[in-house]
Amino acid sequence: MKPADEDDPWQVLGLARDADPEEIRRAYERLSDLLVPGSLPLYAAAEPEEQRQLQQRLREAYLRLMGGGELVRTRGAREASVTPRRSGADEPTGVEAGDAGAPSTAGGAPAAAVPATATPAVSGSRLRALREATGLSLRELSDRTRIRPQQLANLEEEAWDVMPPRVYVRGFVMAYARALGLDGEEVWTGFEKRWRAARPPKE
Amino acid sequence: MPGESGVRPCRVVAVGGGKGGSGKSLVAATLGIEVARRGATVVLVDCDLGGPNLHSLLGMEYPREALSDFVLRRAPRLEDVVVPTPVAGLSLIPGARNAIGIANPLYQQKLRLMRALKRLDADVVLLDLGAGTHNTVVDFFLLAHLGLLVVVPEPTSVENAYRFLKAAFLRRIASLNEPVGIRDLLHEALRSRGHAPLRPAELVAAAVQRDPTVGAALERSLASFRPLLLVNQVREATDLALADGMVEAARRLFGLDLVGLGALAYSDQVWRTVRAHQPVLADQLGKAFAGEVALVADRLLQVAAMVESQQ
Repeated sequence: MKPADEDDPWQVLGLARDADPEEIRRAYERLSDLLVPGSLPLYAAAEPEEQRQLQQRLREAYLRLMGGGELVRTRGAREASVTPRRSGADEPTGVEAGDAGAPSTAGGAPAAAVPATATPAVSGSRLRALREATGLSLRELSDRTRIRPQQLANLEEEAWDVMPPRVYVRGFVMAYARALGLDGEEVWTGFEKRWRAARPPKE
Repeated sequence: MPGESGVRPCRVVAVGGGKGGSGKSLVAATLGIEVARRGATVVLVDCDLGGPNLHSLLGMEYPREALSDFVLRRAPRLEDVVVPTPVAGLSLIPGARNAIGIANPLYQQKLRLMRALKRLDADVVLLDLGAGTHNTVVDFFLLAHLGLLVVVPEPTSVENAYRFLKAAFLRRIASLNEPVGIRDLLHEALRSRGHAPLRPAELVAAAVQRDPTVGAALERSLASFRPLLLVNQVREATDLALADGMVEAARRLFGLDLVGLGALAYSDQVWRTVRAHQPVLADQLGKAFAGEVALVADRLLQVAAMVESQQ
């Protein structure tokens, strides 16, 4: 078979294009359960980093299909944000393989993607909805971001009064977004609009 | 002459690959018995020439005639070494007797044997292969109509299964009649991967870029390579999904399309039956186990019918 087009969320989740939200959720849950990094089916099949990327691709595809589309990292942004954390030795051959296999397939027009020119405001409840859509608890998100669950909850509740200075909030939102497979800059730009609206301009 | 099972003569299914002790022989024997019970004619073949023991699982004594006699041309026809078993409809070709040096037959011997196996007068021929990834095992796996890989839910077994699949795929493309530097391609791919695991899909992609004709041949070869996968000796409920997980992992990480046949639970009763040198008949193994074997047999026959219709 051809390698699945890694940019097509339907293909990543192995779904037909007319799948309904319930089918989408079930496919995502099934696959993310089957392919948990460190699980037996992945043993000796991929490096730990590759296993995490596999899980991340599932999450991104799911978020796109569940309406987080404009906030999901584009391919260029993904590479830019992933590369610095890697040792640099074994760069993304997987992506190249996908490229080579792709042209003859359906062109891979992303379903709900293409970042909007003007980012809409991203509210705390939108963040929470996206987090819950991926089945992550605050505790799990905290483990990934190394940010205390209360701080994450504060973002979701837009508890402006107890938030730290802007530079920290920005860091929290970016980490929050990336852990969900979203574009950190894009989400922060949207969230900052809520921040500005709620805070007096002096800050 | 298809029986109730609807299987045409003659489907050769090779059961093998991976680690020793994963229950390949037991799977071959119980599946053979189940398919025969449904009215099909089945021949079980002990292809583990280095360590044959199918006859023991069928409660039989050490046989007089064996596969090695045919390979070494002491028996002119394969039919001469087929012996009846206590199960109606099921016959056995026992493995080697004491022949030294028969464990690794020459390629020509293997081809001659496989031709004869495909001509046997039976609905289904089940080959029980030995453990490991050496060429004898891989060749029988590839030359059969269907290859069935048996794994147990342990890291060592999963690792060996992936290793076996990749070895089988490489052996498969190495035998293509294309004037290609497949060896060069392979070395290049391995070098670019560093210490990371090799991905068959990447190899194919690299070939496509270099030479479209060759690439297309490799793509066809990858697409038509569809080994079956069965998880055996499952003790934890979570491991029931191991076959599904491996199917998804192999597709996403290697570009290999496996067909999951499900799982068989670990059973003390099966172990006791084998230990007591009793035949592994369904009524000896308990209802639950027999039910699982029946499900696996259903899927196997479905896949066999599908492959048949595509050829």
